[in-house]
Amino acid sequence: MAKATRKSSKRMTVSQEVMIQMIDVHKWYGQFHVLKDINLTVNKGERIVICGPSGSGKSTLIRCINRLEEHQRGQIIVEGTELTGDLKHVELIRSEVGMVFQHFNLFPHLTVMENLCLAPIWVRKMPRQEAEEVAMNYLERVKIPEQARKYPGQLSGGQQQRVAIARSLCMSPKVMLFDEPTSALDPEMIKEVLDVMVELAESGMTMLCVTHEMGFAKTVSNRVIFMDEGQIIEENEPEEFFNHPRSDRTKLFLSQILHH
Amino acid sequence: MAAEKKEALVLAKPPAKPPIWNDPRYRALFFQVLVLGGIILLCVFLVHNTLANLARQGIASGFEFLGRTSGFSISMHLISYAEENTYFRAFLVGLLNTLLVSVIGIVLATIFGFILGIARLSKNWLIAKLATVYIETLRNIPLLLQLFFWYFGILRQLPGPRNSIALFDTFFLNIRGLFSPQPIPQPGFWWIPAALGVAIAGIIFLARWARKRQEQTGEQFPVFWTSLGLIIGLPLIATLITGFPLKWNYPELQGFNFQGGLVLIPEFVALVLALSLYTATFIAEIVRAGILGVSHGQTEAAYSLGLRPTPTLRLVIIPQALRIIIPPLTSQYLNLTKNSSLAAAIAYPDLVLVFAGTVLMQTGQAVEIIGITMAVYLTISLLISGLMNWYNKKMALVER
Amino acid sequence: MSEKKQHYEPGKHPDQAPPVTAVGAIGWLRQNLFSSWSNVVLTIVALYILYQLVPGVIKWAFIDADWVGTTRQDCSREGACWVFIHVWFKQLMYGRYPEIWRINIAYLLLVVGMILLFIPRFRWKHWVAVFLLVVYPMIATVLFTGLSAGNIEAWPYRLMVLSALAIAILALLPLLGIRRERSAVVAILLLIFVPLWGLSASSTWTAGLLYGAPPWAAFIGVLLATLPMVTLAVALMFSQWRTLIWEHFWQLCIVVAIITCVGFLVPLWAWQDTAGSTPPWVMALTAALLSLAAISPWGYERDAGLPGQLARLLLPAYLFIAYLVFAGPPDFLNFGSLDWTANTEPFFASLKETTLPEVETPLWGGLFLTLVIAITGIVASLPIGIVLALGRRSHMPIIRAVCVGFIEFWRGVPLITVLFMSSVMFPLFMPEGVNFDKLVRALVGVAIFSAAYMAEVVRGGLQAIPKGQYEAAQALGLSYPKMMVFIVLPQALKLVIPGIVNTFIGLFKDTTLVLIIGLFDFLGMAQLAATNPDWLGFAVEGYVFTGFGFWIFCFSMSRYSQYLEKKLHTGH
Repeated sequence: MAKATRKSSKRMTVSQEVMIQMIDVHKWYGQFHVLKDINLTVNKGERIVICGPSGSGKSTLIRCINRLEEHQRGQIIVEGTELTGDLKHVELIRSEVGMVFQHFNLFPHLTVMENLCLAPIWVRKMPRQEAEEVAMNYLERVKIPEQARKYPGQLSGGQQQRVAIARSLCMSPKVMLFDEPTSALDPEMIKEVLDVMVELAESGMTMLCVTHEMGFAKTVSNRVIFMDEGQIIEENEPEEFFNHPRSDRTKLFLSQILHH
Repeated sequence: MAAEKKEALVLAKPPAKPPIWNDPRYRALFFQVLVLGGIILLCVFLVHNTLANLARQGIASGFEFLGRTSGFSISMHLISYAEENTYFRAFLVGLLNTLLVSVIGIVLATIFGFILGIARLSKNWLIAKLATVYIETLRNIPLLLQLFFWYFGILRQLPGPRNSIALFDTFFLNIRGLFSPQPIPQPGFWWIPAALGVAIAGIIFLARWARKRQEQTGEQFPVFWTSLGLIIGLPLIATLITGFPLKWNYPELQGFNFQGGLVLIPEFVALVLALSLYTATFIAEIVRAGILGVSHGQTEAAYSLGLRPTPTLRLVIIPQALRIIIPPLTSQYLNLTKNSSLAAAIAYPDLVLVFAGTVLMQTGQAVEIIGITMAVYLTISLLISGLMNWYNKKMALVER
Repeated sequence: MSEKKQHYEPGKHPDQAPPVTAVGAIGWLRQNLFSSWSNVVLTIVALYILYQLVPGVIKWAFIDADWVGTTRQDCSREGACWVFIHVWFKQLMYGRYPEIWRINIAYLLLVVGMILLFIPRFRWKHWVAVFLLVVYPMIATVLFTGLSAGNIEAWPYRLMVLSALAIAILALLPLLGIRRERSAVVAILLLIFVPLWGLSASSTWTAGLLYGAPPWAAFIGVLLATLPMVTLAVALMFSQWRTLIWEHFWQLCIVVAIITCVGFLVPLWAWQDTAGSTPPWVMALTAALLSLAAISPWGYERDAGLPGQLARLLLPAYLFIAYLVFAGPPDFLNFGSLDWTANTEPFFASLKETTLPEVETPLWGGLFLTLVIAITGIVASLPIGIVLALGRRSHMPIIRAVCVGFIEFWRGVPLITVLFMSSVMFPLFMPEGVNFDKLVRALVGVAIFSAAYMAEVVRGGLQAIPKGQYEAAQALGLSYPKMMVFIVLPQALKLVIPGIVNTFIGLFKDTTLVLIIGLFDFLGMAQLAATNPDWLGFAVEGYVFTGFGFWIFCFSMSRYSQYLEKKLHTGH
């Protein structure tokens, strides 16, 4: 698997400012208890990797943060705003939290440029020209400025995912959520997406990342969270997490994912 | 075989020509000539028989009959028509009646179908179930049966003019049809459509201006609500200023029937009802499929960018759903137009009843008349599907 | 948070029940009916609509309805008059058909066959399919039309039409996954043809006798005409002969053809002096071609060179020639025409004994007629539709153009004009003296019309087959017909079964249109009953009943097609 090669986590700083706080969060799908008593605090500039077996609730957890899923008990506070049924709060938080999906979810009927400009124009009320300048800037950062006038269907998977990242960045979010961003990609495309993510981390972005890319977890993250059956089993710095896992379930999971 | 091959290799002879029946080009040619020959033979056979039969039965051929006097009356005509008019005029009357019922049916079916389709996706369980029951019931019952139900079962059972069902004393429903007041414009009436025109022009201008301003400054303008205000407000003001220059010609009971007012004959009402209620179920399913066809990920992506539900619907969901909806929707429109020919069964004077029915009976020129009738429907179908193909090519999502 | 918080070790948190507001009856109501103000309003509106409709309908249809009685006086006219349906029930189901047991037997056979087809692990499905597609139509036709002295002279025509259909279906059988190697099936198929040829031969025999041929000649003729086919069929049942037969397939075909030819010629010599009838050599040649055509579809895998190619062409040629011979060629070809009726009338008039009395089609009606039209329409339209779909995707421009034109034409016009055409124009197209039954004309119209729609459904399936399948088939060295028959069509047809069912639903509903050309189907019968002077004013009851009948058929079929679609989607 592609590995993020640069040992760069040392350079990145973590402030004490709290970005996201989840207190005693519970969620049910019908009768099924998906998230159980989740407590998590994310500081500004933190890069958190969430891993765990499939069906452990990790995607649900980050989808609760911008309320794509509703939680039934507990509190989620993003940048001092609590997520409740109040639509104004939800909109505010969604415009401050970017999200990248496993299947990109680009809008196929709009060009890459239009994909990028849609939210800045309609949410941030930016003039088109300015929005396009911002968009071009981010397209250059993800290294595909030449694709601006194409449609998503004309791009490769890796390029599409990079467009999706740029689309989120255009809203200048304070936090980025990644929901298995490389799982739907071919091996040779994973690296180009991971490189963009590493660069993003270096720039000091707060990131929550559900991924199976352990190389990325080791080099870029400053905290790894292991989830199983809707609970946070273990939470540690990457070095400790990989070298001295505490619980048996973590050990089992690591042995399965690292020696295949 | 093997030895031959070897020899050919050694001597490097030019490859032998394949036998003629194994050469794909000759084969293709042969099959095509065969098919073409068969078709020509069939045509010769049919034309020969037809000519012989026509000669034997003493039926004239050619299109001169179109210029002859028809001698029958038609109960509903959009253009002036009387018994002394020609068959061609009767054809036009029938065609216009077909087009009228189709257009009104299409408009109503679309409105009703969209409402039903969205209702079926409603989060409200009761509404969704009601819509489902309606759709699953009506789409599985033949249209002709529904048409009969409305016409013979309901409208023909209505009381006579003397015992009409009255709505607000202005609309009267009886066995002769639906009578409603007819608007008669008075001097000064033209201000109202003029105001409407101004409103529409204003809206176009406003929409352009708002878009330009948004592109330059990012400011948004509530175009929809202003447009609604304009389109209602301006004609209303015009009406008030000119002092309501519209008189209504109310239907009145005189003797055995109503006089005056606007009459919708029961055949027309039944046909429009049946066509639109039936087609609406299919349109509802198309709309539902279109909306479901846009993956949930699209909504999630738009929401996670901070877009609110309304702009998400307008900018992301509807443009994609329409691409899925419009092609099958058009074919439903075509179906409705073709189904309007069921009019013949309840004696609504459409193209089939007037032309392929009465005119055919009178002249006996089956070949010409059925030919023209089919050609009309075929033209409509081909025109619309041609337009559709062009639209689809234009709107297709660009893929690799 | 009022709840007392309890701490668990990481990973030890038990599953808890969700809060009461989210689940259970209250949660359900909250989520589904009263989640917002607009939702509350919608719920109230829906409840109001239900309140307006449901009690009234129930009162009309059940509480105030009249159920028992025999005349309209038994209806107190408060609610529905189900007496009306009761009295007219037989007509609604069977029309004016006199002996309904014949129809019921056909129904029973069909239902049993269908049930067997739907049993998942039933081993003899192929046999059942063959029975339903080939044998059943013949049995049903005999049962429905009757078999009596009065119409025996019409049987050669009917048998020709039926066997033409059967051959077309036979040619499709490999698509159902029945391989030629399943010799038992093949043998059975051939055995079906033997009586068929036997019957047409025997009609030749009777006719031959009429014209003074000695009985021994007629007998030998019949024997010769049928024996080779019987022998071939029996031989195919034994594996050691089977291989031999397939090896010399085409030679055998020619032998069979020659013997059949001679067989037909023997009694026909006696005919020569009959002026105006088809010359014997035409009959004989036809017979030879017929027997060749019957076996030719089974020669697919033999690479037979030119004779093989020609034999394949016999299938379409057969239909045309059979028509020429038995219906009489058009005047301009100047063969003269075969007039069975005039010549054989005295003979048949003497046969007064009847087994199954003939039932004229004007007596057919009700749901029975609806089913006859719909099922015949769909069965006939499938092979035509497949051919049209293949033609539309062909690389040969003329064939493609012809198919596109045909499909688009019939799809572009309303069914009602097609029915008008078949009732008004069809008689004009036929040679003088050839008259088809009104029902047959309607069937032809319906079949052609639905074939165009079927073609589009099949084309959808063909397009859905990945290019790789075609390439793989070509890489294996399969020719175009083999590729289509063994690789592409079986997959494509499986994919479009839901589409076919949907077409059938549409056709089933459209059959009601035949009442416009004067056939009394299910709805037509209800309409007839409602306009009966003794029963005026009960139209609504008739429509509700027939509507319910149609609904049950169409709804269950659409559910079935949805189920298939789901199965297909998950199956991949």
